[in-house]
Amino acid sequence: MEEYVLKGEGLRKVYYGEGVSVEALKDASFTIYPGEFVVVLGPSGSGKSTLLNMLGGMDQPSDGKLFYVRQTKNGPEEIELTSLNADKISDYRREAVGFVFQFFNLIPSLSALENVELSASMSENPRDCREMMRLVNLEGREKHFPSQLSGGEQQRVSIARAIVKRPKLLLCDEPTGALDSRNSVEVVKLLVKVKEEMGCPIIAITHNAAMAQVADRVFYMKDGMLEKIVTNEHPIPVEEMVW
Amino acid sequence: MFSNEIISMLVEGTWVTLYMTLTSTFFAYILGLPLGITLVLTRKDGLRPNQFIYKIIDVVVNIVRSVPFLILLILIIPFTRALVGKSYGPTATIVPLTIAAAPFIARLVESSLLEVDQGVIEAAQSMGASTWHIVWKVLLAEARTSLIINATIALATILGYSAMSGTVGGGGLGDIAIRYGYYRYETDIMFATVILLILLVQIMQYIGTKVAKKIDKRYR
Ligand SMILES: Nc1ncnc2c1ncn2[C@@H]1O[C@H](COP(=O)(O)OP(=O)(O)OP(=O)(O)O)[C@@H](O)[C@H]1O
Ligand SMILES: [Mg+2]
Repeated sequence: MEEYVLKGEGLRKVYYGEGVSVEALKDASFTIYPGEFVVVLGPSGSGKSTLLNMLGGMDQPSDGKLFYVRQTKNGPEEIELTSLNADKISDYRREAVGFVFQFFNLIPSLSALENVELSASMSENPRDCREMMRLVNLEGREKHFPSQLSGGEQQRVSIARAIVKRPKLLLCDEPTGALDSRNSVEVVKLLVKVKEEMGCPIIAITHNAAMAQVADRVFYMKDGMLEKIVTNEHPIPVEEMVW
Repeated sequence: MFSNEIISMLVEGTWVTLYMTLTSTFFAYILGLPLGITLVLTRKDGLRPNQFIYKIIDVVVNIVRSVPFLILLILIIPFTRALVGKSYGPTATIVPLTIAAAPFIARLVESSLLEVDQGVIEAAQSMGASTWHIVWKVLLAEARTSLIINATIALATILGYSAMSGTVGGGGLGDIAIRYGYYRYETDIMFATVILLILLVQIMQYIGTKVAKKIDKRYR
Protein backbone atom coordinates (compact mmCIF):
# COMPACT_ATOMS: atom_id res chain seq x y z
CA MET A 1 0.00 0.00 0.00
CA GLU A 2 1.14 3.48 -0.86
CA GLU A 3 2.35 5.50 2.10
CA TYR A 4 -0.04 8.35 2.56
CA VAL A 5 -2.17 9.98 5.25
CA LEU A 6 -5.20 11.21 3.33
CA LYS A 7 -6.41 10.59 -0.19
CA GLY A 8 -9.32 12.35 -1.86
CA GLU A 9 -10.91 10.99 -5.02
CA GLY A 10 -13.33 13.16 -6.97
CA LEU A 11 -14.49 15.09 -3.91
CA ARG A 12 -17.45 17.33 -4.57
CA LYS A 13 -19.56 19.50 -2.33
CA VAL A 14 -22.84 21.14 -3.15
CA TYR A 15 -24.54 23.42 -0.65
CA TYR A 16 -28.27 23.71 -1.08
CA GLY A 17 -29.73 27.01 -0.03
CA GLU A 18 -33.24 28.38 -0.49
CA GLY A 19 -33.77 28.01 -4.23
CA VAL A 20 -30.07 28.18 -5.05
CA SER A 21 -27.31 25.66 -4.83
CA VAL A 22 -23.59 26.37 -4.71
CA GLU A 23 -21.04 23.90 -5.96
CA ALA A 24 -18.36 24.83 -3.44
CA LEU A 25 -16.01 22.02 -4.44
CA LYS A 26 -15.75 20.35 -7.84
CA ASP A 27 -14.04 17.04 -8.37
CA ALA A 28 -10.98 17.42 -6.17
CA SER A 29 -8.45 14.57 -6.18
CA PHE A 30 -5.19 14.64 -4.25
CA THR A 31 -3.03 12.79 -1.76
CA ILE A 32 -1.51 14.06 1.48
CA TYR A 33 1.77 12.45 2.49
CA PRO A 34 3.35 12.01 5.92
CA GLY A 35 5.25 14.96 7.28
CA GLU A 36 4.61 17.39 4.46
CA PHE A 37 3.59 21.02 4.69
CA VAL A 38 0.81 21.81 2.25
CA VAL A 39 -0.39 25.35 1.72
CA VAL A 40 -3.76 26.00 0.11
CA LEU A 41 -4.00 29.25 -1.84
CA GLY A 42 -6.97 30.76 -3.62
CA PRO A 43 -9.34 33.69 -3.76
CA SER A 44 -12.19 34.15 -1.32
CA GLY A 45 -15.03 31.73 -1.94
CA SER A 46 -12.89 29.33 -3.96
CA GLY A 47 -13.68 26.42 -1.66
CA LYS A 48 -10.61 26.28 0.56
CA SER A 49 -12.48 26.00 3.85
CA THR A 50 -14.92 23.57 2.31
CA LEU A 51 -12.03 21.29 1.38
CA LEU A 52 -10.33 21.62 4.76
CA ASN A 53 -13.51 20.97 6.73
CA MET A 54 -14.01 17.84 4.70
CA LEU A 55 -10.50 16.61 5.45
CA GLY A 56 -11.12 17.23 9.13
CA GLY A 57 -14.39 15.32 9.19
CA MET A 58 -16.36 18.49 9.94
CA ASP A 59 -18.33 18.18 6.74
CA GLN A 60 -19.24 15.34 4.39
CA PRO A 61 -18.76 15.51 0.61
CA SER A 62 -21.77 15.25 -1.69
CA ASP A 63 -19.75 12.97 -3.95
CA GLY A 64 -16.39 11.28 -4.04
CA LYS A 65 -14.32 9.34 -1.58
CA LEU A 66 -11.90 10.24 1.16
CA PHE A 67 -9.44 7.72 2.60
CA TYR A 68 -7.35 7.93 5.72
CA VAL A 69 -4.47 5.64 6.62
CA ARG A 70 -4.40 4.85 10.27
CA GLN A 71 -1.22 3.48 11.81
CA THR A 72 -1.99 0.54 14.07
CA LYS A 73 0.12 -2.02 15.90
CA ASN A 74 -0.45 -4.38 13.00
CA GLY A 75 0.64 -1.88 10.40
CA PRO A 76 -1.26 0.67 8.35
CA GLU A 77 -4.99 0.35 7.89
CA GLU A 78 -6.92 2.19 5.20
CA ILE A 79 -10.24 3.68 6.31
CA GLU A 80 -12.80 5.16 3.97
CA LEU A 81 -13.90 8.23 5.91
CA THR A 82 -16.77 8.88 3.54
CA SER A 83 -18.41 5.61 4.57
CA LEU A 84 -18.39 6.30 8.32
CA ASN A 85 -21.39 7.36 10.41
CA ALA A 86 -21.42 10.55 12.49
CA ASP A 87 -20.13 8.85 15.66
CA LYS A 88 -17.22 7.24 13.84
CA ILE A 89 -16.37 10.53 12.15
CA SER A 90 -16.34 12.16 15.57
CA ASP A 91 -13.91 9.45 16.71
CA TYR A 92 -11.73 10.22 13.70
CA ARG A 93 -11.70 13.91 14.63
CA ARG A 94 -10.83 13.11 18.21
CA GLU A 95 -8.06 10.66 17.35
CA ALA A 96 -6.50 12.09 14.26
CA VAL A 97 -7.26 15.73 13.61
CA GLY A 98 -5.85 18.90 15.11
CA PHE A 99 -7.65 22.08 14.07
CA VAL A 100 -6.40 25.66 14.17
CA PHE A 101 -8.84 28.44 13.34
CA GLN A 102 -8.45 31.98 12.08
CA PHE A 103 -10.06 33.47 15.17
CA PHE A 104 -8.48 31.00 17.62
CA ASN A 105 -11.80 29.92 19.14
CA LEU A 106 -10.39 29.39 22.60
CA ILE A 107 -12.90 28.87 25.37
CA PRO A 108 -13.12 32.31 27.03
CA SER A 109 -13.74 31.18 30.60
CA LEU A 110 -10.90 28.65 30.64
CA SER A 111 -7.29 29.68 31.20
CA ALA A 112 -4.70 28.99 28.51
CA LEU A 113 -3.59 25.82 30.25
CA GLU A 114 -7.17 24.69 30.88
CA ASN A 115 -7.94 25.09 27.19
CA VAL A 116 -5.07 22.73 26.41
CA GLU A 117 -6.13 20.38 29.20
CA LEU A 118 -9.68 20.16 27.88
CA SER A 119 -8.34 18.93 24.56
CA ALA A 120 -5.97 16.54 26.34
CA SER A 121 -8.85 15.13 28.38
CA MET A 122 -10.44 13.88 25.18
CA SER A 123 -7.34 12.07 24.03
CA GLU A 124 -6.29 8.57 25.00
CA ASN A 125 -2.61 9.32 24.95
CA PRO A 126 -2.10 13.07 25.31
CA ARG A 127 1.19 14.85 25.64
CA ASP A 128 2.07 16.87 28.71
CA CYS A 129 0.03 20.08 28.73
CA ARG A 130 2.68 22.24 30.41
CA GLU A 131 5.28 20.97 27.99
CA MET A 132 2.99 22.06 25.15
CA MET A 133 2.82 25.55 26.66
CA ARG A 134 6.62 25.60 26.65
CA LEU A 135 6.73 24.35 23.08
CA VAL A 136 4.66 27.33 21.94
CA ASN A 137 6.80 29.70 24.02
CA LEU A 138 4.10 30.57 26.52
CA GLU A 139 5.69 29.31 29.69
CA GLY A 140 4.47 31.47 32.56
CA ARG A 141 1.22 32.43 30.83
CA GLU A 142 -0.61 29.21 31.79
CA LYS A 143 -3.08 30.93 34.12
CA HIS A 144 -3.99 33.74 31.77
CA PHE A 145 -7.38 33.83 30.15
CA PRO A 146 -7.74 34.29 26.39
CA SER A 147 -8.89 37.90 26.90
CA GLN A 148 -5.59 38.59 28.62
CA LEU A 149 -3.52 37.29 25.70
CA SER A 150 -2.63 38.97 22.41
CA GLY A 151 -3.92 37.51 19.14
CA GLY A 152 -0.58 35.89 18.42
CA GLU A 153 -0.45 34.38 21.90
CA GLN A 154 -4.00 33.08 21.62
CA GLN A 155 -3.13 31.45 18.32
CA ARG A 156 -0.13 29.77 19.94
CA VAL A 157 -2.38 28.43 22.70
CA SER A 158 -4.72 27.10 20.06
CA ILE A 159 -1.79 25.35 18.37
CA ALA A 160 -0.84 23.83 21.73
CA ARG A 161 -4.43 22.73 22.13
CA ALA A 162 -4.38 21.12 18.68
CA ILE A 163 -1.12 19.22 19.11
CA VAL A 164 -1.47 18.04 22.72
CA LYS A 165 -3.52 15.12 21.45
CA ARG A 166 -0.78 13.93 19.06
CA PRO A 167 -2.83 14.55 15.92
CA LYS A 168 -2.08 12.57 12.82
CA LEU A 169 -2.67 15.68 10.76
CA LEU A 170 -2.89 19.37 11.57
CA LEU A 171 -5.40 21.50 9.69
CA CYS A 172 -5.20 25.29 9.83
CA ASP A 173 -7.81 27.59 8.32
CA GLU A 174 -6.07 30.94 7.80
CA PRO A 175 -4.04 30.61 11.00
CA THR A 176 -2.44 34.01 10.40
CA GLY A 177 -5.57 35.69 9.03
CA ALA A 178 -6.18 37.74 12.16
CA LEU A 179 -2.55 38.51 12.98
CA ASP A 180 -0.07 41.24 12.13
CA SER A 181 3.05 40.32 10.15
CA ARG A 182 5.32 39.79 13.14
CA ASN A 183 2.89 37.41 14.83
CA SER A 184 2.14 35.73 11.51
CA VAL A 185 5.80 34.88 11.05
CA GLU A 186 5.92 33.56 14.62
CA VAL A 187 2.97 31.28 13.92
CA VAL A 188 4.42 29.95 10.67
CA LYS A 189 7.71 29.26 12.43
CA LEU A 190 5.82 27.41 15.09
CA LEU A 191 3.92 25.34 12.53
CA VAL A 192 7.17 24.33 10.86
CA LYS A 193 8.62 23.44 14.26
CA VAL A 194 5.57 21.33 15.03
CA LYS A 195 5.83 19.58 11.70
CA GLU A 196 9.47 18.73 12.35
CA GLU A 197 8.89 17.69 15.92
CA MET A 198 5.76 15.62 15.38
CA GLY A 199 6.12 14.54 11.78
CA CYS A 200 2.45 15.00 11.04
CA PRO A 201 1.42 16.66 7.81
CA ILE A 202 0.16 20.21 8.06
CA ILE A 203 -2.38 21.66 5.70
CA ALA A 204 -2.74 25.41 6.01
CA ILE A 205 -5.04 27.76 4.16
CA THR A 206 -3.71 31.24 3.62
CA HIS A 207 -4.31 34.39 1.64
CA ASN A 208 -0.68 35.32 1.95
CA ALA A 209 1.55 33.82 -0.71
CA ALA A 210 4.56 34.22 1.56
CA MET A 211 3.60 31.10 3.44
CA ALA A 212 3.78 29.16 0.18
CA GLN A 213 7.55 29.77 0.04
CA VAL A 214 8.14 27.45 2.98
CA ALA A 215 5.62 24.80 1.91
CA ASP A 216 6.50 21.45 0.40
CA ARG A 217 3.50 21.67 -1.91
CA VAL A 218 0.97 24.31 -2.81
CA PHE A 219 -2.65 23.59 -3.72
CA TYR A 220 -4.13 26.32 -5.90
CA MET A 221 -7.90 26.64 -5.78
CA LYS A 222 -10.23 28.63 -7.99
CA ASP A 223 -14.02 28.58 -8.32
CA GLY A 224 -14.33 25.36 -6.37
CA MET A 225 -11.65 23.64 -8.38
CA LEU A 226 -8.35 22.31 -7.20
CA GLU A 227 -6.71 23.91 -10.20
CA LYS A 228 -3.15 22.77 -9.77
CA ILE A 229 -0.80 21.24 -7.26
CA VAL A 230 2.73 22.60 -7.36
CA THR A 231 5.61 20.87 -5.67
CA ASN A 232 8.08 23.29 -4.20
CA GLU A 233 11.48 21.94 -5.23
CA HIS A 234 13.30 24.27 -2.89
CA PRO A 235 11.19 25.37 0.03
CA ILE A 236 13.06 28.17 1.76
CA PRO A 237 13.94 27.90 5.45
CA VAL A 238 11.31 29.62 7.54
CA GLU A 239 13.88 32.12 8.83
CA GLU A 240 14.26 33.50 5.32
CA MET A 241 10.56 33.87 4.67
CA VAL A 242 9.60 37.42 3.70
CA TRP A 243 6.04 38.22 4.84
CA MET B 1 -48.03 50.24 63.98
CA PHE B 2 -49.12 46.62 63.35
CA SER B 3 -50.19 44.25 66.08
CA ASN B 4 -47.97 41.27 66.83
CA GLU B 5 -50.57 39.08 65.24
CA ILE B 6 -50.38 40.94 61.94
CA ILE B 7 -46.60 41.01 62.02
CA SER B 8 -46.35 37.28 62.53
CA MET B 9 -48.86 36.84 59.73
CA LEU B 10 -46.68 38.95 57.41
CA VAL B 11 -43.56 37.02 58.39
CA GLU B 12 -45.36 33.77 57.80
CA GLY B 13 -46.65 35.08 54.45
CA THR B 14 -43.12 36.01 53.42
CA TRP B 15 -41.89 32.51 54.16
CA VAL B 16 -44.78 30.94 52.30
CA THR B 17 -44.11 33.17 49.29
CA LEU B 18 -40.44 32.24 49.37
CA TYR B 19 -41.34 28.58 49.66
CA MET B 20 -43.68 28.73 46.67
CA THR B 21 -41.29 30.78 44.58
CA LEU B 22 -38.15 28.78 45.23
CA THR B 23 -39.80 25.39 44.96
CA SER B 24 -41.61 26.30 41.73
CA THR B 25 -38.47 27.78 40.24
CA PHE B 26 -36.60 24.61 41.12
CA PHE B 27 -39.16 22.35 39.46
CA ALA B 28 -39.58 24.73 36.54
CA TYR B 29 -35.84 24.46 35.89
CA ILE B 30 -36.00 20.67 36.05
CA LEU B 31 -38.47 20.90 33.17
CA GLY B 32 -37.26 24.05 31.44
CA LEU B 33 -33.51 23.48 31.40
CA PRO B 34 -33.62 20.25 29.36
CA LEU B 35 -36.26 21.80 27.10
CA GLY B 36 -34.07 24.85 26.49
CA ILE B 37 -31.03 22.67 25.79
CA THR B 38 -33.07 20.52 23.42
CA LEU B 39 -34.28 23.60 21.56
CA VAL B 40 -30.70 24.73 21.00
CA LEU B 41 -29.46 21.27 19.98
CA THR B 42 -32.28 20.46 17.57
CA ARG B 43 -32.56 23.82 15.79
CA LYS B 44 -31.60 23.95 12.14
CA ASP B 45 -27.97 24.87 12.72
CA GLY B 46 -27.71 23.06 16.06
CA LEU B 47 -25.49 20.14 17.02
CA ARG B 48 -28.29 17.61 16.48
CA PRO B 49 -30.71 19.18 14.03
CA ASN B 50 -34.18 17.67 14.29
CA GLN B 51 -36.99 19.71 12.82
CA PHE B 52 -39.69 17.48 14.27
CA ILE B 53 -38.62 17.65 17.93
CA TYR B 54 -37.75 21.32 17.63
CA LYS B 55 -41.17 22.23 16.23
CA ILE B 56 -43.06 20.29 18.88
CA ILE B 57 -41.24 21.93 21.77
CA ASP B 58 -41.36 25.31 20.07
CA VAL B 59 -45.13 25.16 19.60
CA VAL B 60 -45.90 23.78 23.06
CA VAL B 61 -43.72 26.43 24.68
CA ASN B 62 -45.46 29.17 22.73
CA ILE B 63 -48.93 27.87 23.55
CA VAL B 64 -48.32 27.58 27.29
CA ARG B 65 -46.65 30.98 27.37
CA SER B 66 -49.57 32.65 25.67
CA VAL B 67 -52.09 31.47 28.28
CA PRO B 68 -52.43 34.08 31.05
CA PHE B 69 -51.26 32.69 34.36
CA LEU B 70 -54.57 32.97 36.23
CA ILE B 71 -56.39 31.17 33.44
CA LEU B 72 -53.75 28.45 33.36
CA LEU B 73 -54.09 28.07 37.10
CA ILE B 74 -57.84 27.49 36.84
CA LEU B 75 -57.50 25.38 33.69
CA ILE B 76 -55.27 22.79 35.32
CA ILE B 77 -57.09 22.53 38.66
CA PRO B 78 -58.08 18.91 37.96
CA PHE B 79 -54.46 18.04 37.25
CA THR B 80 -53.30 19.90 40.35
CA ARG B 81 -55.84 18.08 42.50
CA ALA B 82 -54.79 14.73 41.06
CA LEU B 83 -51.16 15.52 41.80
CA VAL B 84 -51.24 17.01 45.31
CA GLY B 85 -54.72 16.15 46.53
CA LYS B 86 -56.09 19.70 46.68
CA SER B 87 -56.46 22.70 44.45
CA TYR B 88 -55.68 25.65 46.75
CA GLY B 89 -52.95 26.58 49.21
CA PRO B 90 -49.23 27.07 48.76
CA THR B 91 -48.27 23.52 47.86
CA ALA B 92 -51.04 23.18 45.30
CA THR B 93 -50.05 26.49 43.73
CA ILE B 94 -46.58 25.16 43.03
CA VAL B 95 -48.07 22.99 40.28
CA PRO B 96 -49.45 25.79 38.05
CA LEU B 97 -46.49 27.98 38.91
CA THR B 98 -44.11 25.29 37.68
CA ILE B 99 -46.09 24.66 34.52
CA ALA B 100 -46.40 28.34 33.72
CA ALA B 101 -42.74 29.05 34.36
CA ALA B 102 -41.13 26.05 32.64
CA PRO B 103 -41.67 27.28 29.04
CA PHE B 104 -40.53 30.74 30.05
CA ILE B 105 -37.37 29.22 31.51
CA ALA B 106 -36.88 27.08 28.42
CA ARG B 107 -36.78 30.30 26.37
CA LEU B 108 -34.41 31.99 28.82
CA VAL B 109 -32.08 29.00 28.71
CA GLU B 110 -32.32 28.89 24.93
CA SER B 111 -31.33 32.53 24.58
CA SER B 112 -28.46 32.16 27.05
CA LEU B 113 -27.04 29.17 25.21
CA LEU B 114 -27.40 30.84 21.83
CA GLU B 115 -25.12 33.61 23.06
CA VAL B 116 -22.20 31.16 23.20
CA ASP B 117 -19.74 31.86 20.39
CA GLN B 118 -20.33 29.54 17.45
CA GLY B 119 -16.60 29.37 16.80
CA VAL B 120 -15.95 27.98 20.26
CA ILE B 121 -18.57 25.29 19.70
CA GLU B 122 -16.98 24.50 16.34
CA ALA B 123 -13.60 24.16 18.04
CA ALA B 124 -15.00 21.69 20.56
CA GLN B 125 -16.63 19.78 17.74
CA SER B 126 -13.37 19.70 15.81
CA MET B 127 -11.71 18.11 18.84
CA GLY B 128 -14.17 15.27 18.53
CA ALA B 129 -16.06 16.19 21.71
CA SER B 130 -19.36 14.37 22.07
CA THR B 131 -22.60 16.32 22.07
CA TRP B 132 -22.97 15.86 25.85
CA HIS B 133 -19.42 16.93 26.40
CA ILE B 134 -20.11 20.10 24.44
CA VAL B 135 -23.36 20.75 26.31
CA TRP B 136 -21.64 20.43 29.67
CA LYS B 137 -18.18 21.78 29.10
CA VAL B 138 -18.92 24.45 26.56
CA LEU B 139 -22.57 25.50 26.32
CA LEU B 140 -23.58 25.44 29.98
CA ALA B 141 -20.14 26.38 31.25
CA GLU B 142 -19.74 29.33 28.91
CA ALA B 143 -23.30 30.57 29.34
CA ARG B 144 -23.32 30.30 33.12
CA THR B 145 -23.20 34.03 33.82
CA SER B 146 -26.11 34.65 31.51
CA LEU B 147 -27.94 31.62 32.93
CA ILE B 148 -27.62 32.96 36.48
CA ILE B 149 -28.78 36.43 35.52
CA ASN B 150 -31.75 34.93 33.71
CA ALA B 151 -32.50 32.75 36.72
CA THR B 152 -32.86 35.95 38.73
CA ILE B 153 -35.35 37.22 36.19
CA ALA B 154 -37.18 33.90 36.38
CA LEU B 155 -37.35 34.10 40.18
CA ALA B 156 -38.80 37.61 40.09
CA THR B 157 -41.37 36.58 37.50
CA ILE B 158 -42.41 33.50 39.45
CA LEU B 159 -42.62 35.59 42.61
CA GLY B 160 -45.03 37.85 40.73
CA TYR B 161 -47.11 34.86 39.60
CA SER B 162 -47.19 33.50 43.16
CA ALA B 163 -48.58 36.82 44.37
CA MET B 164 -51.21 36.69 41.64
CA SER B 165 -52.25 33.25 42.76
CA GLY B 166 -53.31 34.93 46.03
CA THR B 167 -56.50 36.01 44.28
CA VAL B 168 -57.65 32.41 44.24
CA GLY B 169 -56.37 31.36 47.62
CA GLY B 170 -52.81 30.54 46.69
CA GLY B 171 -51.35 31.60 50.02
CA GLY B 172 -48.42 33.82 50.84
CA LEU B 173 -48.10 37.60 50.58
CA GLY B 174 -50.43 37.88 47.59
CA ASP B 175 -53.11 36.11 49.56
CA ILE B 176 -52.72 38.52 52.47
CA ALA B 177 -52.82 41.52 50.15
CA ILE B 178 -56.09 40.34 48.63
CA ARG B 179 -57.77 39.38 51.89
CA TYR B 180 -56.85 42.51 53.84
CA GLY B 181 -56.23 45.12 51.22
CA TYR B 182 -58.94 44.27 48.72
CA TYR B 183 -61.76 42.75 50.73
CA ARG B 184 -61.29 44.65 53.99
CA TYR B 185 -59.79 47.92 52.76
CA GLU B 186 -56.91 47.63 55.21
CA THR B 187 -54.60 49.35 52.79
CA ASP B 188 -51.71 49.60 55.24
CA ILE B 189 -51.43 45.81 55.32
CA MET B 190 -51.58 45.66 51.54
CA PHE B 191 -48.90 48.30 51.45
CA ALA B 192 -46.71 46.23 53.76
CA THR B 193 -47.05 43.17 51.52
CA VAL B 194 -46.08 45.21 48.48
CA ILE B 195 -42.96 46.47 50.25
CA LEU B 196 -42.08 42.94 51.30
CA LEU B 197 -42.49 41.72 47.71
CA ILE B 198 -40.28 44.51 46.41
CA LEU B 199 -37.68 43.69 49.06
CA LEU B 200 -37.73 40.03 48.07
CA VAL B 201 -37.14 40.89 44.42
CA GLN B 202 -34.31 43.26 45.36
CA ILE B 203 -32.61 40.64 47.52
CA MET B 204 -32.90 38.00 44.80
CA GLN B 205 -31.50 40.42 42.25
CA TYR B 206 -28.66 41.36 44.55
CA ILE B 207 -27.69 37.73 45.19
CA GLY B 208 -28.06 36.85 41.50
CA THR B 209 -25.80 39.67 40.36
CA LYS B 210 -23.23 38.85 43.03
CA VAL B 211 -23.12 35.20 42.05
CA ALA B 212 -22.99 36.04 38.35
CA LYS B 213 -20.03 38.37 38.93
CA LYS B 214 -18.27 35.82 41.04
CA ILE B 215 -18.42 33.06 38.43
CA ASP B 216 -17.58 35.27 35.47
CA LYS B 217 -13.91 34.43 35.21
CA ARG B 218 -13.29 36.26 31.99
CA TYR B 219 -12.65 39.69 33.41
CA ARG B 220 -11.11 38.76 36.71
N1 LIG C 1 -22.67 26.18 4.81
C1 LIG C 1 -22.74 26.72 3.59
N2 LIG C 1 -23.92 26.90 2.99
C2 LIG C 1 -24.00 27.44 1.77
N3 LIG C 1 -22.96 27.83 1.04
C3 LIG C 1 -21.75 27.69 1.58
C4 LIG C 1 -21.57 27.14 2.89
N4 LIG C 1 -20.23 27.13 3.15
C5 LIG C 1 -19.63 27.65 2.07
N5 LIG C 1 -20.52 27.98 1.12
C6 LIG C 1 -20.21 28.55 -0.21
O1 LIG C 1 -19.26 27.74 -0.82
C7 LIG C 1 -18.28 28.51 -1.49
C8 LIG C 1 -16.91 28.18 -0.98
O2 LIG C 1 -16.81 28.59 0.37
P1 LIG C 1 -15.51 28.40 1.24
O3 LIG C 1 -15.85 28.85 2.62
O4 LIG C 1 -14.99 27.05 1.10
O5 LIG C 1 -14.53 29.45 0.56
P2 LIG C 1 -13.06 29.88 0.99
O6 LIG C 1 -12.16 29.59 -0.16
O7 LIG C 1 -12.71 29.30 2.30
O8 LIG C 1 -13.22 31.46 1.12
P3 LIG C 1 -12.55 32.48 2.17
O9 LIG C 1 -11.16 32.72 1.68
O10 LIG C 1 -13.40 33.71 2.03
O11 LIG C 1 -12.62 31.87 3.52
C9 LIG C 1 -18.69 29.95 -1.29
O12 LIG C 1 -19.38 30.38 -2.42
C10 LIG C 1 -19.59 29.91 -0.10
O13 LIG C 1 -20.53 30.94 -0.15
MG1 LIG D 1 -12.44 30.09 4.29
